[in-house]
Amino acid sequence: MKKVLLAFDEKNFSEGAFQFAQKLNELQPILLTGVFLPSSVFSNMWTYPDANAGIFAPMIDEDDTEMMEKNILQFEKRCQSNGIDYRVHKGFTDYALSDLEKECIYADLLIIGTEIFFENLGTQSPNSYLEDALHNIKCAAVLVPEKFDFPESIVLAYDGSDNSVFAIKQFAYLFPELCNKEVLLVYASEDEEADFPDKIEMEELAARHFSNLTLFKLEINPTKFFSTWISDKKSTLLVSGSYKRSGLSQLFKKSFIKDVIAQHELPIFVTHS
Amino acid sequence: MKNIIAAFDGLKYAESTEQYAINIAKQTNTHLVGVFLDDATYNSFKINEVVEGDGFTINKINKLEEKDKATRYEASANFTKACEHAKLEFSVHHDHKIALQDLKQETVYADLVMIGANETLTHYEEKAPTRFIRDLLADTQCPVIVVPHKFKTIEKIILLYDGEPTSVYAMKMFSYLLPQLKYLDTEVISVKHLDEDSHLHNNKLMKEFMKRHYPKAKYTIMKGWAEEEIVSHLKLQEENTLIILGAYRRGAVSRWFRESMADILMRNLKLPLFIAHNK
Repeated sequence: MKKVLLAFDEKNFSEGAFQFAQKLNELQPILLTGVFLPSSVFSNMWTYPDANAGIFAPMIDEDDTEMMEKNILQFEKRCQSNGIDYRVHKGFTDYALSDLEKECIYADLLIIGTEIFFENLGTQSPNSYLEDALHNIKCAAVLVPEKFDFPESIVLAYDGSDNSVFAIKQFAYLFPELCNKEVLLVYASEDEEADFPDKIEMEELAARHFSNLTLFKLEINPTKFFSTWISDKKSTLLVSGSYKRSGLSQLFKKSFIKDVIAQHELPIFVTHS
Repeated sequence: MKNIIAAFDGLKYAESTEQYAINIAKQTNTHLVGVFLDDATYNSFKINEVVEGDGFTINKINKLEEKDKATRYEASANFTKACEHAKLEFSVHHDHKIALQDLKQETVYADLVMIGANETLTHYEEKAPTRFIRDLLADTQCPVIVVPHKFKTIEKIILLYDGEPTSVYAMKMFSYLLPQLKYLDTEVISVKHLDEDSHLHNNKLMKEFMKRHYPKAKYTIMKGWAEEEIVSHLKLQEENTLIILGAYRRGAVSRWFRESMADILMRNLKLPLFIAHNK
């Protein structure tokens, strides 16, 4: 049985994220913990190492608290009517991000509705708050757009790095129920002539976990075109080891996953060792 | 289905590794990979053994190398026979490059590695923890079970918890990888300082997590120094106990100043250890 976190900010209830959790519960019963993060934490944001954040620091007002109570009530009602075992964690006071990190240590999976997670805090997508959360959390996460089809097939993104293999392994451990779906293991590298690295070993590993597996070498530059390629796929979940590198390294080499998140079309499984 | 590696030194075949690996593979849905580290720079003879009369003789070297080859062949044949006897799905890899590098590369594409605590991959005997094992633990890409010299069927598991993310990570990995074993008798051990209260670190979150993964776990909280309390508590355990801990997340320099719990346990105990770390 898995313990799954569902993170909400106080203003928005992510319908997509909840639906994903509900589908997971149908596959295998889960414990769903709703984590409600107040945006009041951003009042302290001037110490935050990101110049962007200060501009959007909202004030604490009663409307927000009311909104949060409403969301919690909605969450509880929806869990009860769908027969999901649930808990509510709220009342974080100071530094919400580190609270979320702590919650993640003791959970198997985190689900975030990426389209509206703290959407009031920035216009770029994924916003800096989400990026920071993804960079620091200690468990696997599924990023869910508001409108999606529950995955009927899986795309495993493999770039030859240890990190991408780690993500594939973690996915197999967490979702044994999805491992018999159609699985496409895609290798993409900026060097278009590079061959599939460690093909035999990778196939040996993947074939143990995924019964319906196809290996595929994508001959395009992943940083530029991966998001275009993947947007043609419907009812798919993308598995990717991402967000491991430090902020500085990310600055120089853009994580290709960002574009896919920004398109809001597919659920994405991310993790890093 | 899981991909589990049993790693061997073909010249000093560790039977207990074979027994532990087969025992665990039989209980779980596993494809067992026998990785034989036939390092080309490592052979069983010493340099003075190839000196004959005035100098080296190719003949003698060839003869000794043939002998090593035969020993290595016999080791993998033993493994094959044992797996066939146990009716397991298995394969055998012979890695001929530098042993440590080869094994690290194998760990990327494996779910779990099992290896004997006394493996050195050199002529020399070393006391556990050996340099080879320490280097492997520092860089492995999947969890490792370090097994003692003598095989005992695992009948109890002990989880070490210190409130750090790595210790919880190890518990998660064990639960994902060997779910069949987590229904054994389970104990969680945590050591707190004398001036701390006697609740678990993050009690509420921890219990919520444990109830899903190890519902029958018993909790033991001790007071004092972790290094001393844990070793003395574990010394009372029978040899059929598997210890699960998160270790070796810190770098080598940090480990000089404060030794890893894994090293302490390997030195003082003869119990199998399940070690995992997230970087």
